[in-house]
Amino acid sequence: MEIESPTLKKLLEEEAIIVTADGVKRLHILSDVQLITMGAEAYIYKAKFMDIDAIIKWRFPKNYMPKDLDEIIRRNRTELEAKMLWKAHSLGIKAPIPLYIDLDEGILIMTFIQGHNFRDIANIIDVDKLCNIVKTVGIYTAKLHLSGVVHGDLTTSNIIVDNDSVYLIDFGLATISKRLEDIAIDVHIFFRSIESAHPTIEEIAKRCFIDGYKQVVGEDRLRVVLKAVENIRLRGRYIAARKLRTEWGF
Amino acid sequence: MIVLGIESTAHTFGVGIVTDSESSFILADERAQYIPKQGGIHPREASRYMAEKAPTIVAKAFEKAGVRPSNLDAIAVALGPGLGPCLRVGATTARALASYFKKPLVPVNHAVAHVEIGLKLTGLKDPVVVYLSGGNTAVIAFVEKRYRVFGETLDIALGNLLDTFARETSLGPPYVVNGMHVVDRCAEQGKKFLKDFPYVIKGQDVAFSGLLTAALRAYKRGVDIHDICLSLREIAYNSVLEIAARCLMHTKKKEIMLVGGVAASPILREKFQAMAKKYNAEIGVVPPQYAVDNGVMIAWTGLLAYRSGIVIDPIKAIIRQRWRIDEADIPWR
Repeated sequence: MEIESPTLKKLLEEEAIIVTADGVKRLHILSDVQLITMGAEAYIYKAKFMDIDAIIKWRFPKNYMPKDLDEIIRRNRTELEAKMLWKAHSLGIKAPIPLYIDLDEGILIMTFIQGHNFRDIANIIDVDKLCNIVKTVGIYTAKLHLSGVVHGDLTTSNIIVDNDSVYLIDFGLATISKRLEDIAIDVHIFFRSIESAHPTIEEIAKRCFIDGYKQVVGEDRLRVVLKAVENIRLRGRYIAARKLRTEWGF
Repeated sequence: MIVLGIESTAHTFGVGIVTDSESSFILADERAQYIPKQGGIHPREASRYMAEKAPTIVAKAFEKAGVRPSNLDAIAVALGPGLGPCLRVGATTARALASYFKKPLVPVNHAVAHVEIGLKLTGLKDPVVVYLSGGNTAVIAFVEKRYRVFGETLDIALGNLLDTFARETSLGPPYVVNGMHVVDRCAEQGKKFLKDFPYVIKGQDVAFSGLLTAALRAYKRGVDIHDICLSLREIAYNSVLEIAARCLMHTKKKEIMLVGGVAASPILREKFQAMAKKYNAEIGVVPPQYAVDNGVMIAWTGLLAYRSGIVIDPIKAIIRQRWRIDEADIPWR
């Protein structure tokens, strides 16, 4: 497979020398690169980075965007993602560990997480397991929010499940904010991804998420956040409830 | 099967007559469009215009199609979403025709109709639908029996953004000249990309109001309008492209369909073509004539619905101004 990125090409050629008690080992910094998927903004490769199973996320240049805008967006998101991954770890949230970063090319290399994408298993796993997973996601989200981080793209595709461990991935749209509005949008996005892609489990998934969230922030704060989520939902197009509100003035 | 459809959700009163035969699909496509002398659509004025035009347009459609009311199998009408006074004109016309000629009345969701006519004309099977018009900015995909909204604008629509900016800076109205939006045209001479405009993506949603404010402020500061147009357009279009790409990856669909009035923009189309190529997806653009509001799309969707047994008692056929696309059942898919 052809790798277009110059940085990745260079890493494939360079060698590292690792000295341990057992002896000296020479190995390529990067090897076994395989394209696994093309995300909405990046190529995702699986590879060995210094003998560690890793994921390479390359935010490729978009030829349909003006160069200036494209570069700003790629650079900012790559930098932010690495920062946010560290932040998540410091809060005890399971997420990939950043290993290598190249801002000019929009490359982030991080540890590979074995497991299933939650989107693929959400409709087939049993209810208790589903509830536990979503509850953990609720706990993670609340922890992030309490420390001023919003994930920004909290969808079922960005959750990885490995037996009992739940991982959050893709912090590329994360921002630092304590505004209620931003926090509520995070929750709104998660609810919407459940509604649109997994309508059959909507009720239980929402309930368990709220349970987990409440566990961290408490009842009062939860109520404030859910009220804000409702307000955001009402801002969408053609919402019947909004009509009543404007007609009857409440 | 012959079905007549009536559209009157915003500025266009349209009557279409379609059949389910491949060779003679569209029998009639008559429209009257309300064009305000200044500003936006005034619902009362638009509905008054429609009420005046309705009888002639219906009569013309029958004449053009060469069918008599007794030949019809059903009458379809867009009951929403849209402007109340305008919707009522179409609904009244449809109810009257249906009860007088004793024909089944079929309720149609206007947004579903935009999608269905697009599928019919582009030949796509199961695309990610990008619905861009004056009042709508949404990325839609068919999942589990309904068209579900994957992302939409959290405040103003893309068409609304461009029109409002044009109006405030005296670039328009008219907003579209020779098939090109005045903001697109103004951007052609833009050279510099302004860096302080907000690019807002929230998950799968976009928001444009901050961008509009930033652009208008820059205009008041005396920044070159061409540069503003360029930056405004690029940020607006690319944020839509990005949420479309997200939906494409999320749903793993292989087709993209552009529909709605703003989808006619040649620049937007080029961008989508480049994007689709990168993602190995097929792209379909609904021909401009049918990407805007029309009666044919209502008739066609009414035909599909009627075949699946959807009818409504005229007495219950009241309009629904806020009838979301994901609230409409799609039993024919």
